[in-house]
Amino acid sequence: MRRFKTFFFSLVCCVSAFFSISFLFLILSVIVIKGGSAIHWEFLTQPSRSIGQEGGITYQILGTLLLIFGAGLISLPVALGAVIYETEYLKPPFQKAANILIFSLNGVPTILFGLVGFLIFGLYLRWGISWASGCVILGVMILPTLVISIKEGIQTIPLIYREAALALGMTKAQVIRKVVIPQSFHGWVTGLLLGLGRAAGETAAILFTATAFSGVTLPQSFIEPVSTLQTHLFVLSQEGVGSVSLTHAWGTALVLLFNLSSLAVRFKLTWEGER
Amino acid sequence: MKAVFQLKNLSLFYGKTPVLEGVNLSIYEKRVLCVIGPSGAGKSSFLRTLNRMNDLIPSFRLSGSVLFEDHEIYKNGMEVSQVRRRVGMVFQKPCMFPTSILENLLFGIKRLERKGKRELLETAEETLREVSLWDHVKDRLHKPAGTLSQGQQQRLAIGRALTMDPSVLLLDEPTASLDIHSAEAIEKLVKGLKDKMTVVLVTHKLEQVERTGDDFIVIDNGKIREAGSTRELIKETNKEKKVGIPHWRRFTEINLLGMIVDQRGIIGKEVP
Repeated sequence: MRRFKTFFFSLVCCVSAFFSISFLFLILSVIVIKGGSAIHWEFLTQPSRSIGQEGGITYQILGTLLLIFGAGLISLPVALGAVIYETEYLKPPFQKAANILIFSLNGVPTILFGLVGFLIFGLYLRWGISWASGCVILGVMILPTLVISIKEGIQTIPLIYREAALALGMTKAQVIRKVVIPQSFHGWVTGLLLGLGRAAGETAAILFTATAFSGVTLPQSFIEPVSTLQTHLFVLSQEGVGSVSLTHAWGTALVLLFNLSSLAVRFKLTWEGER
Repeated sequence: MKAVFQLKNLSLFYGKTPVLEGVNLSIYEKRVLCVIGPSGAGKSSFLRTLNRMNDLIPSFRLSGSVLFEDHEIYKNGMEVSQVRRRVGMVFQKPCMFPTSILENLLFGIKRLERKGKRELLETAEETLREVSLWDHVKDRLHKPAGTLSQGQQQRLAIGRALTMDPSVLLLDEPTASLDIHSAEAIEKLVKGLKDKMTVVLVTHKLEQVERTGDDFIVIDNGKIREAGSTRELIKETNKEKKVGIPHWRRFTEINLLGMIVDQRGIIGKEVP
C-alpha cells in the first residue's frame, strides 16, 4: 500500500511538472509558428503603417523600452528609499504596517492603476495620454516587486557587516551608504529586472494613459504618447483587418515574448549568481 | 597607572533581566585586561558596553556610569561613533567584507578620514607589518579577503581596527575559531599592542590569560567574581597544580583569590 502511495504521489508530481512545461512549449510554438513568418529585418526596423497592415514595429519596441526604463528610473530610488526607511528607521510595529500596505498595493488590479492614473495625471495634472503618465503609473505598479526584493536583499546582509562597520566608528548613515546599499546590490538588480518584466508585459494600466495606436513616433516631450508592443498586439488582435495584420500581431507577440523571457533569463542568472 | 575606563556601579539589563550587576572596575592604560568566565556569564555584554555596541539591542538598558578618558559615554548627546573610533573592536569570527584584502583593511579609514592614496597605502603596509601579514599578502593585496586562512583573516580584522588608531582595543574571543598556531600569532600580536594601547580580551582559555594578560576579571552569573593581576593568578595556579585542582573549577566553585580591583584601581580583598 505504501509503495502504491509513493508511486501515485510521484506520478501526480510528474504529471504536474509535465503539464506546466508543456504549456510553456505550447505557447511558444503557437507564437513561433504563427508569428515567425512576420519576423524579418524590415518588421523590426520600420514604423507601422496602414493600421498595422504594413511596415513594422520599431516605435512599438522603442516605446516599450522607453516606458519600462522610465518606470524603473522612477521606481528604483523610491523603492530603495522606502525600504531603507522601513528597515533602518521604523520601529517593528510600524514596519509591519508598512509591509501590509506595500503588499496591498501589489494586490490592486492593474486596470485600477490605469483608471486612477488617468484621473490624476491625465485629467488633474493635464498630462493627457503621455509617456510621463505611463512611466509614473508603471513605476508605482512595480514598486511592491522592487520593495520586496530589495528588502530581502537588505535583510540577508549578515549582521556582522553592520557591526564591523559601526565598530570602526561609522555613523548609521555611513553604514547605510557604505554597507547596506552596496551589499544589497543583488536584491535591487533582481527586483528591478522582475519589475521591468512585469511593466513590459502590462497592458491594462497604460492602455488609456500612455499609449496611442497609430501615427506615433518617438515622443518629443514628456507629455506625448508612445506606442508599445503590448498595446499594439492588443489592438491588432482585436481590430486588425486581414491576415497580414494578424501575422503582424503574432510577430509582435513573438518580439514581446523574446523581450520578457530575456529579462526572465537575466533574472535567473542574477539569482543564481547570488547563491 | 592611569585608568582609561572607570566603571561605577554598572548594571546591565536586557529588558528586565539583569545580565551584569554592581560592577566597579578600573581598566588601566597600556595593559591587557582579560575577561574570563563560563559561556553566557555576561562577558560579551560587558565588552560591548565599553563601545556602546549594545545600543543595537533594543531591549538593552544600563544603570551606573561608564567613564572613558574621564567622559561619561552614556550621557545624552554623546557622539557614539566618536567613542567607537577611539575604542576599536574585533569579533569572535573574523568579519571580511566581500572585497579585496586591501579594501578590507582600509574599510574604515578610507571612508572616515581624508587621506590620499599614497598615505593610505603607507598606512596599509605599516599595519600589515604590525599584524605580521605583510609578507603573506604583499603580492596579493587586491585578491579577495576570503582567500586568506581564518587566522590571517582575524589578523586582518585586527589590522582594520588598528588603522583607526584606537586607544583601546576590545577583542571578543578572537582565537575561539582558530587553530593553535593562528591563536599563538594573535596572542603575540596582543602582547605587542600594549605598548601603544589598552587591550580588553574576552577569552575562555585560562592559559591565554596567563600568557597575555596583565590583569584579569572573572565574570560568572552576572557578577565579577574575581579580579586581580595575572602574576598573582599564575602563583595561585602553580600552587593548585600541586594539589591537583583543575584550572577551571576554581573559577566556578572555589573563590581562591577573592580579590577585586576597585574604582581607585586598588586590588582589594572583597567581591562586591
